[in-house]
Amino acid sequence: MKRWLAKLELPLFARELRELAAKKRTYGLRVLYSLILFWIGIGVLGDQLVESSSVRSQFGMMGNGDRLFEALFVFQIIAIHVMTPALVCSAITNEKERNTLGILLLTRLGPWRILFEKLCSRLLPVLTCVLLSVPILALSYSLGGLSWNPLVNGLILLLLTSVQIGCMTLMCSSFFRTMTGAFIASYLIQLVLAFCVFATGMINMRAMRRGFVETSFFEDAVLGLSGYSVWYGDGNSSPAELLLSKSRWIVLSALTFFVLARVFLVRRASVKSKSRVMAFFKLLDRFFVWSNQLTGGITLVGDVGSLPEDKPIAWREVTKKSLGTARYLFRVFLALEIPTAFFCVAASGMGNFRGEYNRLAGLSCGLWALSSLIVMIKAAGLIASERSSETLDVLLTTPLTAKEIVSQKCAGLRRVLFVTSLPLLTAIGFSAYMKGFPRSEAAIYTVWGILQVVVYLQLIAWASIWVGMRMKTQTRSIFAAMTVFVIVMATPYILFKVGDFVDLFGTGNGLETSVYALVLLSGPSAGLVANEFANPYNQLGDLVRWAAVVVPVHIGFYATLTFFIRRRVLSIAAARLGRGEAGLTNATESPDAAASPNRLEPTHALS
Amino acid sequence: MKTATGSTSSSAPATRTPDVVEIDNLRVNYGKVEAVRGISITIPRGEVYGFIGPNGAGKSSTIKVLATLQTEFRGRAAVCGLNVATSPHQVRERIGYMPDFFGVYEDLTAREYLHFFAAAYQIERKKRKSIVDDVLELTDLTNKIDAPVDGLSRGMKQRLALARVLLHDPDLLLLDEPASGLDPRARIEVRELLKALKEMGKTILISSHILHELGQLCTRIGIIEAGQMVEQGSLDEIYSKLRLMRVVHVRVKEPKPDLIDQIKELDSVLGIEEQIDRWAISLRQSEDDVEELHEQLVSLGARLVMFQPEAMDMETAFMKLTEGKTA
Repeated sequence: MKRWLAKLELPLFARELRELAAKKRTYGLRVLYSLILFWIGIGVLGDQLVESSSVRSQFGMMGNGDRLFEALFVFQIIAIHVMTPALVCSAITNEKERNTLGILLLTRLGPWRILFEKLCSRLLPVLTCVLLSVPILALSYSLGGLSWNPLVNGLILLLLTSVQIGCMTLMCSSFFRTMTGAFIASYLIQLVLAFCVFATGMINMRAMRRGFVETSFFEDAVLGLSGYSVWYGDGNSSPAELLLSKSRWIVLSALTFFVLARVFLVRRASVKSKSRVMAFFKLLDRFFVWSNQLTGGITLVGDVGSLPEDKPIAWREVTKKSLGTARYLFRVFLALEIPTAFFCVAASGMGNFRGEYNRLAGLSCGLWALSSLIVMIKAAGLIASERSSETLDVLLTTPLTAKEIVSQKCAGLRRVLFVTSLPLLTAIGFSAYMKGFPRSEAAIYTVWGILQVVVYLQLIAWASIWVGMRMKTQTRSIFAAMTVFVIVMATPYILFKVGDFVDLFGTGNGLETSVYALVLLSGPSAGLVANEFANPYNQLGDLVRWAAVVVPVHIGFYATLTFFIRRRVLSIAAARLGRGEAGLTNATESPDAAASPNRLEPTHALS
Repeated sequence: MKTATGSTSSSAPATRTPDVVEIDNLRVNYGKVEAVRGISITIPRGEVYGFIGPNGAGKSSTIKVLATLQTEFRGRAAVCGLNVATSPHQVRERIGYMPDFFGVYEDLTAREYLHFFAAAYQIERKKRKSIVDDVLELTDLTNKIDAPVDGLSRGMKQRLALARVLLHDPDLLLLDEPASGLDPRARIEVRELLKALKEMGKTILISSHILHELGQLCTRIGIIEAGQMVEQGSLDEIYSKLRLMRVVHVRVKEPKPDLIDQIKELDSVLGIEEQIDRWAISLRQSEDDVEELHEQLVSLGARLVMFQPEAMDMETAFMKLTEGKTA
């Protein structure tokens, strides 16, 4: 009995839980999750009240529990897809970075048990969040309109999806050396899976419209990988049937990911860290060198001098970094610009859209998300990368001021800003053309769009540097910058929703355009959406009348904010980097003028 | 030789060249932990000062203060007469700091790395090449000039880091555990390099755990424990002080029953410990003459089989002076 009890002991699980309990973010996450659940509940119930009838009472909500449940289910599925990789990706990479994985593997725990305990401990916060939704799910059930099966099936699918995404991220964590690698890979895999499910779903729907009822094995497998598509298709089946049959692809994929995690855990336990982006670019270099033998040596983008001259840190940023070197950035530019131009040309060739909504709005939003992410990753890691490679202290003992260090570190970032803004400007240019530039509406769109590109990207860059300066590791700085980014982006929509809800008990006419205009000032994302989605057929269209006020105030505010953040970053750089800079202006203090014997070369006074 | 708490620049004559390092009553706190508790050090030009102490004793914190990387501290710290707190920028031009980790950019070659820091120290462009060649020659890395830093051995990386600190010809070298983690050959190479720098007249503050190497290199040592200076001075001075508490191991053939009591009554003897095969006689601090003890024992009729004063070296001194405490 004692032996069995000893086997039941989960030392890794217990340690991970202790670490988790000591972190403030564990509790912060729960509070945030609860608030979002509350906000969704309020939003959905509020909408139902507005739509229900002229009689504004709680009875208007009755029989609409399914809508509340669906909103909560969709949010939780998305939250699991977003949250789980962030929580699980460091499970194994942390051990690799601390050089403790080898020691763990030498214990009697064994690889399977290590993975199992790690997975359980990392999934627990996700499941705790799902548990938080139970009271509000009970409310949706009590409102009526929701039967027992979809409710239970929904909960089962939330659980299975957490395990599936957890196993997939655990596999990435076992494969990669660093947390950043595992983090990016797990989201990329999810993106590919989501695209496959979406494309298969679209094909499937078109086939069904044409009368084909049967789904192929491949379609069944791909659609069965997504918890949402399973719930959407088979939500009303019995829980037992769901568990034993409908969810088989989710379970199977989770098991496959777990087995792969086991394989990678041992094989890649002592894998060395290397920049995969740089490795990829170097592979391309070799290809271009080879192809240049055929083309006679065409050089589109040449490298700068091979040794640093006046600005060594800037030199390193633009010659040695994958997101800084001119020829590599040119490739990134082509990778972004070619698909953008293709979509733009395709959309503009589909007819005349004057006065209609902007058909490139989706592309613009996607490009904004991608550009913001690239800028954020680059900017947030600027200082943290020096810290994690233990070179910051050495830099800080040189006569370069902290302000110079930060400014020079931004040399590569400036290039990234330029490269990421070009596809955005392309999309804006095409949208303006389609809106009938130089008509006033198109002109406002163009001016606002260009100003947004100039101001927002700078804002994201400097805010990310600010956040990143406080962090010790690159991964932490990227996570922190992303969290701030998400909060800032979400703020206007929360305000919109709260405003709408408050208005329920007011005039009853919904939000006025003037209120929209005010709310627009609360976040860059609102300005972006307003510019991309405003058209004469929706409420945002009235904003055109307000453009003369809203655009200058909005852009002026964020430009000023960017300026102050930049100034703040440079002014606190010395303190944040960890050294004093008193006496920079006191260069006349008389030092010991005597030169030391055997001087190699005289020391040069700082200009 | 100056004493630990003796001199500050304010008390020195106006014409006198200030000492390269002057630390007076230095205190460093990390939250509630007091890492350095009132350390005072003075290092004149051309001296190699060895800083010894167990892990967590406060060595790196003290060096960081001088390297202008520790902004919060109390007391006075000055380099070449420049106050570290008020003139850190000027101090940086006079120091070469080598941390206890490599601090090298792995994506550069040795040449690029040194040119990087030559530019950071704003050395004139036309002089950079010759300076880089000089320091590479000094550190015996000329044949590795175009090798990627990533591919260098630990010893080579450490020598490259030493080459870096020499680029701007600083007045003071701050070397934090330069031989840490190196194999014996690499350690000897680094030691020989430091000897060469000593012969060049460089002022060096070096911390290390490898005590006998410091013994060969340093003109003065300071032993620090739990943030406090336990002892400092030249090696001779420290040995001389420690000899006051010296232990002599004695084995007597067929000792008289009252011999041990007679020895205890000698003025020079502090105590006696009976061990399995010998007696360990501790001498009083003021009575350090081992020869006198020998004569007294003989006069008491002891037939000495063994008379062995405890060997004194850096490790013994360190063990005697410290108790293994941390701050």
